[in-house]
Amino acid sequence: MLNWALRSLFAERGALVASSAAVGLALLLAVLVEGVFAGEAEQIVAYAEQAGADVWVMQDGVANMHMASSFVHVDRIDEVRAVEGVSRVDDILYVNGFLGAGEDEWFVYLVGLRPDALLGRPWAMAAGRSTPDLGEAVVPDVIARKSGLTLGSSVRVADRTLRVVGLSRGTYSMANPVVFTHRDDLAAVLDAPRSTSYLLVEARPGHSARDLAAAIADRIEGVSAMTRADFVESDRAMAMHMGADVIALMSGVGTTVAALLVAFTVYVGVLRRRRELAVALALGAVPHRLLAAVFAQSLIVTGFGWAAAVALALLLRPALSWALPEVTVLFALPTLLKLGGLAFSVALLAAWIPVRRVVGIDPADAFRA
Amino acid sequence: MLRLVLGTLLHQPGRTVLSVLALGAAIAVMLLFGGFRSGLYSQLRDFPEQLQADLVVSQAGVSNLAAARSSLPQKTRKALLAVPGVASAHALTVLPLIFRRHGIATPVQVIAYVDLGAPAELDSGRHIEVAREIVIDRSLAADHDLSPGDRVDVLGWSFEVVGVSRGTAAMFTPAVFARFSDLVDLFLSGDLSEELQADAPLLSHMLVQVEPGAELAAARAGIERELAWVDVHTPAELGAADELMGRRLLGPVLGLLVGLSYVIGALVVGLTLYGSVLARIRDFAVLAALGAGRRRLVSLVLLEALAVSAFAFLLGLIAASSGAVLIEFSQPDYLVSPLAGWAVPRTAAVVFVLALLGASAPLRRVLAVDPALVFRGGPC
Repeated sequence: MLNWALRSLFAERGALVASSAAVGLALLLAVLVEGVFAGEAEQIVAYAEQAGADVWVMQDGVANMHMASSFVHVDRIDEVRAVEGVSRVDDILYVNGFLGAGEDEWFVYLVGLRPDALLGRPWAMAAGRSTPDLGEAVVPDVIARKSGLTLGSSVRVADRTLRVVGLSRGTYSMANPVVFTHRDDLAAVLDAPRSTSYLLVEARPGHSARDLAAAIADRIEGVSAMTRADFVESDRAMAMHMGADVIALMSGVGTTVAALLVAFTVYVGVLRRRRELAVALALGAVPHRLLAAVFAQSLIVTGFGWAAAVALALLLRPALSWALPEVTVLFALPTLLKLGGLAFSVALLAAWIPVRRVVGIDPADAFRA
Repeated sequence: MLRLVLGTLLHQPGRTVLSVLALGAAIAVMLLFGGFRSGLYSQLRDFPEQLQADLVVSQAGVSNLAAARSSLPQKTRKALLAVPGVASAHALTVLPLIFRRHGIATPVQVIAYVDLGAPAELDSGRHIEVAREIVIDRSLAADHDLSPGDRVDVLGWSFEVVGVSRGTAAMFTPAVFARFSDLVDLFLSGDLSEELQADAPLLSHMLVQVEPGAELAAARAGIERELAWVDVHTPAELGAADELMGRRLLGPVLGLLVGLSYVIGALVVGLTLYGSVLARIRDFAVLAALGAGRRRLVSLVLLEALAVSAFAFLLGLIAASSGAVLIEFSQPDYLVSPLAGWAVPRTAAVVFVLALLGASAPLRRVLAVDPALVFRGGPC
């Protein structure tokens, strides 16, 4: 029966290709939208993740960077350094604002670094230096490419003009591209010379970040402390409001419609073969084997479509990165498997409905039809 | 011919309905994805545009309302009132905060105003009348299950929600409207942390009205000449700047997703009609055997494709509009405008062209089929 199912399926190559292509295109939309969502959800917390801190210390009541402002008195830096288990503390000044690059205005996270900072700096460079001096800035390579900036170009932050000395990599996301300046430049913009925003703490080997965060929060008044993992999750939850939620909604819509289209394609495919199925039944085919054969045909069509969607998505990814460097696309295996699982489940259901009717047909009617 | 088209479509109503449903779903996705983009840009543009002022004054170098920090010195109002043509100047402070209630955190923008700056449209309740009252955006009300009459804590002070506004969430951030005098009281109370006082501007913008009969351009030029520390915008300019910022930030991602939905949706439309014609090749062969000429067959195939597409397009419009209503109901932060601008004609053009192409592709097979085989029951 399985041989018959395969022969029957491959005998109509045009229909097979059209069905698989329709399934594949529907799934491609879902895979790509999901990939964009996954990429942005990851990239949106890249700084908190990659800054190198085991523990983040901030103003009491603050639990993230997105849409937040944290101001901690600079005296707290030495107090945190004195806590048992702390290996290193670097502080950053932070505010979200606008970067002027020629005619362009970019909404960015502005991070003010001290010259000797090891934590909180850009973690990968495309060109130039990673630590800006007074009057200098390090900008994401994506902004540089889109606004035509090179090393030595000028950018504006509030009423100050800064010279680009570095192009950082991996620091761009649609919600929060990170621009690094000298701490004193940002302090002058904020008019906050005795304040800092976040203290980035590195734990000594053998000390757990969670215990260290608890010790800092316990011993130092007016601050809260979070492990990197907690801080990243807290920031992600808030940052998702900044555009990623809308992609999640679009992903939901795309996946729903993809499922509908898979169901339609499989359903119509079985309907188209119902006469031939009824004849097979009349010639003595066992109903459950017939059902298995139809399921096999549907799974093959869906499998081809899913494989084509994944292959096309993987092929398109480098082209997308090149054409749209602002967009991060990430394909995670569990997501691809989940979409595949959904497609196969929907296909089986869509095949079962019409084939159930075929199984109930009187064999004589099949020949009369 | 029209009767024949309808007759053939109704001959197998199940298949016709399924085709219409599949095409309608693809069309709805195109419109909805475009609607997300249009809605986001529209929110960004509309929020500043609803400020009931002739001119909006901000810190020099600040040209946005959304996501921008503007701080003006206290001398600004006095200096503005001295400019010829300026009738009144009203303080406005935009303060980004994270609103926390019952474990849910939401970034909000507090809009503290005097006389001008109230929300243009209320969903329920009323505008602020006395101290310690606030009006909140409907998305914040939905997220935190708040309605007029409820009390909330903002920066440690208790306020009564007296109204729920609409169209006052921009850049995914709902607004909370409060009286400027409450903000001043809060600053003076000493309840604010020292750090927040250092960061938060007490005055971020001024809303200016010009005297009746005075020229807006002359008043604007006067302000720009006399107050070196400010920039002057019309609400429409601020709206355009905020929209531009949204386009720069979200444009590439949304453009990619909308583009994908159109390309893939269009291909699905083409493939569905291609498959539909192929599946009915026997029916066309019967018609050929009954004497239908090539021209009649071609017309029938194409007209059927157009009819299915037209029904599907109508269904897609209804599905996209209903989907938008559902999404806005479940996620009031978002405005989804699937029918905005050129979305309908653009989508219609894509759908009908691809439908005709998809239906035309198997025409050669339709025209080449031997009618005699149909009656012999052979394969087509």
